[in-house]
Amino acid sequence: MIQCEEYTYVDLPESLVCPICRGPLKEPRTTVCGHTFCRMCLFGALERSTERCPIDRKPICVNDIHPAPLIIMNLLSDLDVYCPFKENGCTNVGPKYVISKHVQEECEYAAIDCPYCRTTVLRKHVLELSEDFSGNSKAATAKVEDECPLHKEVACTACGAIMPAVDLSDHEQKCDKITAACPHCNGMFTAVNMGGHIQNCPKRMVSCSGRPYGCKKEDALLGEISSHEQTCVFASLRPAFEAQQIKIDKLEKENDMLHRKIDALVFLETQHPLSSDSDIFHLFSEQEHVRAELELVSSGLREFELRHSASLVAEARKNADEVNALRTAINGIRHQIHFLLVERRSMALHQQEPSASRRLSESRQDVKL
Amino acid sequence: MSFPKRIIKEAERIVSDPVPGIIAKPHEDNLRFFDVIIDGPEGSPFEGGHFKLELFLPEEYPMMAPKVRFLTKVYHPNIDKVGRICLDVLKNNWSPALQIRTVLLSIQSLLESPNPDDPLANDVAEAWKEDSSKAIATAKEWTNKYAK
Ligand SMILES: [Zn+2]
Ligand SMILES: [Zn+2]
Ligand SMILES: [Zn+2]
Ligand SMILES: [Zn+2]
Ligand SMILES: [Zn+2]
Ligand SMILES: [Zn+2]
Ligand SMILES: [Zn+2]
Repeated sequence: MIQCEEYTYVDLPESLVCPICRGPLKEPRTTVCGHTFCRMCLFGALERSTERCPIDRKPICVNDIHPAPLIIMNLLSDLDVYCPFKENGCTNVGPKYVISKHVQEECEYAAIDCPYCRTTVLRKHVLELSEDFSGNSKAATAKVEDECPLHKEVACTACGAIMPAVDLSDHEQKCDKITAACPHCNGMFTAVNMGGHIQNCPKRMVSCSGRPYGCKKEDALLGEISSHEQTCVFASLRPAFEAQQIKIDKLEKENDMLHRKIDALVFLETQHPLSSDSDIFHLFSEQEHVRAELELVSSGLREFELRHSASLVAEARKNADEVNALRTAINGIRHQIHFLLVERRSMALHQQEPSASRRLSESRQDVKL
Repeated sequence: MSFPKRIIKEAERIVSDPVPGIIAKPHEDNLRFFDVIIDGPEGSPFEGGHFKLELFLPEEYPMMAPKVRFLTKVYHPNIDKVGRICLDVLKNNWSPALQIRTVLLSIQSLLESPNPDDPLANDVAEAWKEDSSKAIATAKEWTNKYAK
């Protein structure tokens, strides 16, 4: 079993960051004033100070601290995390449960126990080896009774350096005695220098970097394209386009996140319909309002994208302004949603006073499920 | 030496995204120590001065406030001779949700609006209350003498 306690999120929205440890919320707890912290962080803070909320300093009492709404947990578990073996070279990302399965069962870069000796080894080396023995692991173990095939000492045939067998293929990538021919000019280079040479090889055919944005220039030798790019309008606009694209992607993600929050709210609404007092009607209309605004934002985004593809300089500047306006709108919505969440919580508390204990045990069951 | 993620993040952010008028540099060998320079706020008697401070994050940070001290001499009712600062957020009003940058901002605004009613340096506070224009002149003089 490979243990991993801490995952690193690809892109963690500020609303899911604990204000105390600045990490992703762990066992989140919410106060009566509606602020959410990791369980350990919140109780640590209360132990040391008078019992006040670390954010707004409103007095809080330990009995008023509840597990955060389920949607916070759901949002956290839906977000992409990096494979914990990223440093070893794994590029996998995905929701937490997917990545934890990936690590247990298939990650090639996971450090596992060597099946032959007791050292740790990357899973890919074990996989490579069993492929060599065409999957016949019996043959493998029989052959290596005295010496581990992964960790026995071998020598590089080019430079003679001695190393464990698992390190040989990495060494061959770096060995300065092994050279290969450049596919463009046939010059000989070591693996380390090849990448840099190919980047600058004068015999390489390349296309203008403005091609995706409409440049019609044919592929040509590197030198010719470099001088073309000096004067190419499309190539010079590329950084601006890319910056716009990044902004759009970010907004789309944020929008998606808000959609999910709203879906969760609507779902809760149908699950536990609230009684009809005027405050709740207010809540309903507020929610409709938020949804309408979101719709506006999404159509605005779509329009924005269309215009973006028209690829004109003036447009790019105007778009930047629009992005800022959208961001403010989304921020506004985020505040409203936060307000809605707080409102819900206190509403649910007030409304179900008598059956509060039953509700509590119910919600505990929810958490277990 | 290993540091909590929060400290690493804060150190990175304060370097990459500094607060205007405030420079904070973590020591290379110990991220809990910061060399800080705060520019005197415009329109205050400290305008034009560059004030050196040291900031240290104790083991219990963020549950405990950072320790901050002026290294440059300042004529200010809430800062004493050895540079200690009388500021509520550094003492009983500390909250673990506050950060290095919020603390430094509070110190910057303390320079902007001295509070002689909650003094740490009694003689300075007295002088400030008796004749504020004279005290402001002295503060300007000290700024020119020590903080340039
Ligand atoms: Zn936390
Ligand atoms: Zn609060
Ligand atoms: Zn992996
Ligand atoms: Zn082995
Ligand atoms: Zn070699
Ligand atoms: Zn070449
Ligand atoms: Zn071009």
